[in-house]
Amino acid sequence: MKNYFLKRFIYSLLTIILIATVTFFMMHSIPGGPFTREKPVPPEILKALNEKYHLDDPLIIQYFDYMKGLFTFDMGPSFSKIGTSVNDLIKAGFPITAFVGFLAVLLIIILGVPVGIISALRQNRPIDYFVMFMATLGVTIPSFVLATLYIYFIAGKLDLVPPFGLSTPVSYIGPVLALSGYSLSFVARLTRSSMLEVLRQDYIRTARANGLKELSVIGKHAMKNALIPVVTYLGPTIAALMTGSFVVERIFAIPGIGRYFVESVSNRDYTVIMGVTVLYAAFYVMMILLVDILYAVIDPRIKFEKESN
Amino acid sequence: MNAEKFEFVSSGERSDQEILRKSLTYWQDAWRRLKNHKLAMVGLAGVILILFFAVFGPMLSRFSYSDQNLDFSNTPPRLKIYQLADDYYVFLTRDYKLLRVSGKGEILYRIPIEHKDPVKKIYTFKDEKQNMLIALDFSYNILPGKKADYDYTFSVNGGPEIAAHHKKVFNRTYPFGSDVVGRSLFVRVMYGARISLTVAFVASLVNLLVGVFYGSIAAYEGGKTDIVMMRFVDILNSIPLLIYVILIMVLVGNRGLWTMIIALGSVYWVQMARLVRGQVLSLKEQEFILAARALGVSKHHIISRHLIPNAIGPIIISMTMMIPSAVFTESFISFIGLGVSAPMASWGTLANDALSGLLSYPYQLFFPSMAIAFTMLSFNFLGDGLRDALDPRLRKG
Amino acid sequence: MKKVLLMILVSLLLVPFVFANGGKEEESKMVLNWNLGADPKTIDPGLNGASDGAHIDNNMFEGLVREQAGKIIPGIAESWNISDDGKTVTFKIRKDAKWSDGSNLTAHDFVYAWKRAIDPATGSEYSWIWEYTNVVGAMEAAYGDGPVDAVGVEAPDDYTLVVHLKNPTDYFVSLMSFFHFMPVKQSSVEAGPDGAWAKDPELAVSDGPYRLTSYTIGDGLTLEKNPYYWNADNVKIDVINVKFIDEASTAYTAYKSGEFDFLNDVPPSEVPRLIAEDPEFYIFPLLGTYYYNFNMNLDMWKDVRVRRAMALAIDREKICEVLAGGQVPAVGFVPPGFVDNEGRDFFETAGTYGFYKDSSGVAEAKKLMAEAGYPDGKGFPKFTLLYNTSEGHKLVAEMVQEMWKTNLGIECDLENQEWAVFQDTRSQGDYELARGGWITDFLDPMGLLAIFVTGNAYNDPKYSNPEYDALLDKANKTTGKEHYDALYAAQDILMKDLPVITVYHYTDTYLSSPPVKNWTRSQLGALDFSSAYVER
Repeated sequence: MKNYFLKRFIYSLLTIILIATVTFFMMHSIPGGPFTREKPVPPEILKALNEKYHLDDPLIIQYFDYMKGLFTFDMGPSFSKIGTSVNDLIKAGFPITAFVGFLAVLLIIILGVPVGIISALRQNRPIDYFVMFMATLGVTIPSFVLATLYIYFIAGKLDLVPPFGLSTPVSYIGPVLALSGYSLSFVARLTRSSMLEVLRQDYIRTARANGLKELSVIGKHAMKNALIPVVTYLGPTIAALMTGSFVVERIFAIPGIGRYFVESVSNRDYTVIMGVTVLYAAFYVMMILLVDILYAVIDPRIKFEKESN
Repeated sequence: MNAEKFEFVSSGERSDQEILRKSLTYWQDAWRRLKNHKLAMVGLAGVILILFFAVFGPMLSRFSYSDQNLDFSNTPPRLKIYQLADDYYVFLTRDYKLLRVSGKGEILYRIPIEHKDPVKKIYTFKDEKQNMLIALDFSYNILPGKKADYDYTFSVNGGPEIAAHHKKVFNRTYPFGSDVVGRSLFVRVMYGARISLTVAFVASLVNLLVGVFYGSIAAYEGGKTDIVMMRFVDILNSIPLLIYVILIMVLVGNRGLWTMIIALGSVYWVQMARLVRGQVLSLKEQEFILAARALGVSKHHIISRHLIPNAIGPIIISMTMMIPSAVFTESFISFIGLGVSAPMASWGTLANDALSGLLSYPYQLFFPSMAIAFTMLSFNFLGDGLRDALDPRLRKG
Repeated sequence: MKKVLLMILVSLLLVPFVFANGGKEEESKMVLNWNLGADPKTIDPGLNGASDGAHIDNNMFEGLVREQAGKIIPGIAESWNISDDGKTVTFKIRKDAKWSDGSNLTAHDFVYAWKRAIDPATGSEYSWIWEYTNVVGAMEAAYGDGPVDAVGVEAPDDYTLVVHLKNPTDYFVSLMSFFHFMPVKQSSVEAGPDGAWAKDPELAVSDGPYRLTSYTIGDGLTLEKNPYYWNADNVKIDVINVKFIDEASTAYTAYKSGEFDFLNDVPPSEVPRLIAEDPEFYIFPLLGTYYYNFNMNLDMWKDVRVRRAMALAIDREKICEVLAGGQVPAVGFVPPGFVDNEGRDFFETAGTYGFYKDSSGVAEAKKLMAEAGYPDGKGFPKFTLLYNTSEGHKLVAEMVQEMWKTNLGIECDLENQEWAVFQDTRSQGDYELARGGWITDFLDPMGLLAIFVTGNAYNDPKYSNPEYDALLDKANKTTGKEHYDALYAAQDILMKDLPVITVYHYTDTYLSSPPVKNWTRSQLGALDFSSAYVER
């Protein structure tokens, strides 16, 4: 097994490089560049600018130059925030985004999973219906609606929290809620449904018949298998949450890196696009690997390698 | 052995032992179980209702989804109307347009402004044909020293001020209100259903066909196949969606709904693939699979008849929960330019448009969101029932 | 013992007063809280090209002159003199002009700043403006066709700046208020390349009423009163807290909660209400126009009657009402706010060219369409209207689409493209009807009309009329009555040929809370807090 995971680790690195490569070439094949403006810059000046930033070098040379820089953790200068390097942008914004994301992940795990379990144990009772209803609401209300309504009512009308930014501890509530809403609901329902399935299994009946305490039945036997889909869902979700949401950060005016995912594409800020994509890819790949390791821990029967005939 | 110790069984007793019920196939049994699931039937009814409205809804109104009336923009579904004279009622919009309405809530026409006094905060409207000069005084609660229980008063042809509204009526012309260019939100929501339902259906289909099979094959094969297949999934997941959409737009151009569906479908299935892979990894080590393999059941059969049905729970839940995400991704992609072009709109587009006016005209967001929520709930209930119905472990017969 | 305790008690009671006084001193700083909207790409005046950077530059730096609401007042230059032939402008720099680090500001700083901005190696996005300054050798140098040293600007001594112009140019002095022409200190610029110096409080040295004291990426910046500013005595605000919230509704909610005193962007849905109710809501004309380009190379647009019919068939008043930003229905291409040689407003004087603000022109439009061979739109090919992704553009497109359908019976499809793709498509002429917008960069109608000269980089409809070209050339070389007569005549031709359909003129909307007084802005749209104060 250990060999397998070593192989996986190497494949993960390869994946990040592949993602970076595909993104790089895709990015350069769409029209427009970092200097496309509403009032187009005259061609002579455009030429000078492109020369200055080596954007007129053959694409393959630009690619290798970039990858070389990437291996030394130098992500180049930003084209839309002139004078600032991508490293600085990420250094400034990432801790903020990651912290909000981390809180959202905590909320999802601490609230979503137990709520799903309780709902499954009390199937078809009022609490179950309530949870189902809230979860449905949670996935249908998009984060931008939740965020805007929150700011208008809780911040504006009731004046309980600051209307933007992360200046005080309470100001984290809004962004965390808006960020986690969808995933929280998804996890609750997934846990519930998964739990229900597992609880119907024969071995649970056996465990109960054997006189095992209910807590032990749920906690030790049922949960482990029920958690597989939840873990599968959470892996990539955590990666996404930790790298932020464009919408939530924009509406709450949080100076994180979530905004760059969309803004950098519109601005054709090549280096920032690459920077945030590689960051996300790294997180994601790491989480995927973690998920697979967790599979093996949860269900020792799971084997990844092909059967030896 | 004494022969008297044995008796012949009578024909009556024999027929008692016969199995009288037909043996049902998997699908017949599933349908039977689904029918009995009350909540699922409610869900099914909901889905049929939405389909009905999607197809026939727009015919219920005399407006099309694109008919504009700029004078009647941003009117809410409930109107607070004032009675200024016999059979003369008016409604004041939030942006200070005065509309004449019927007592029942039918919007008739706009009364033009005659004069604006920004200092005293009095606007004067003139209805030529009816010979009415209407003065609107909205200085209350704005100018210092003018506090009142009401925000504005009307006075007709110099008469006494009318401060109390006559009543609140439903907007007969626009049951769901009108949008920023005076289009009927009711018609647009019904129309939007067509697009959103198509998107939901296609997305779910792609999820099912591509995602489920991809994930199960990857998990079942294991080893290198699994690694390579999943890395492809990883790449698809990590490339920025915006760049991808723009690229498609540049290469293929916008051919309407189908290009959008291709864009959406090509990345939408990855989550399902991962989910199913997780399930199958766990399931494939179980005894019944080992048994099936020992019996010589083909790989294809094992995957489609044994593994997938046992994983059906998370599959269905995920499918239904992902529908709103498909709807909103569709609106994002359309907004960039790939998909339905204005003035056609889907629920996601309607919700997006309503956002800028959210604080002033919340109903513009409410109705599309309700439509999405209602559809979601229906699919959810139906999905729950389907899950119970398709779960082979619950099979009877 | 009791006495000691009493003394301690009394002194403890006095402690709050010590802090109260300290607190009062803190409070006596005059603070302005302002939401700028977006994090500017750069605030280096030579590299800047955006309006958010312009707002900051206008308060952090100062050029030879300052323009407030159309009035030119002396800035770093205390006076200037234009030669009789109009081709030499001599500026006298104040002897007490200083940089925010205390060092002297001289004419040499201007020469350095200008040459640096012109130099293609610097990569300034706005260096094309030098073409319109008419400064000798400037355009050539900016485009790499000539040496930067040949640019006609020199400093014979520390306090005199001499500029040589190709032709007399009326608007030259007012143009010097623009951020691009503001001075920068050489040692600062070299310490932080690519404008990094301007965002770094340690390196940023400026000459305006305020200086930079902090900058947090994506969050905000702080400006504080510059004690070395030559007019510091009249600068009353001590600290300006600038934030970068670009979600207008969030900023508006924050404004209502008292977190901001000034907003330069207001959610459109609130505007009609604000116009009616709030005296602190301001609408200013922004010198620009929103229009649709006909692709003049296509056969379908060859008949001017069709073009005129389409231009007449839209109700601009209603469009502006829906957009809810105080926009002004357009007629010609030049918006209100330009003053001609006789002090008249160009927009008012130019006339209506037979167009109407509302739908009064529909009858004539129908007639024209029929004359052109398409009664009630029958037989007119379906075309595509192209615009770039934006809520606002979609709204206008939907409105004109419906108006053309109802009034003329012609159908069109709406297509939107992501904006960089759109720029590409439009400049390549790969469209039938495409949205356009243009804002002037200097206070002269030429700033708008010049783009329709044959071959101009921004001439999207690919319009070409030698008469028009000749008139604009003449305007470029003349001043006073001749200059404006040529411009009026040029717009006449433009409105007869109609290569574009003008829709509305842009506006800027501001919300300022009652305590903020005496703020102003330049005609070109840059806010000016140099003489503002806050009375809480």
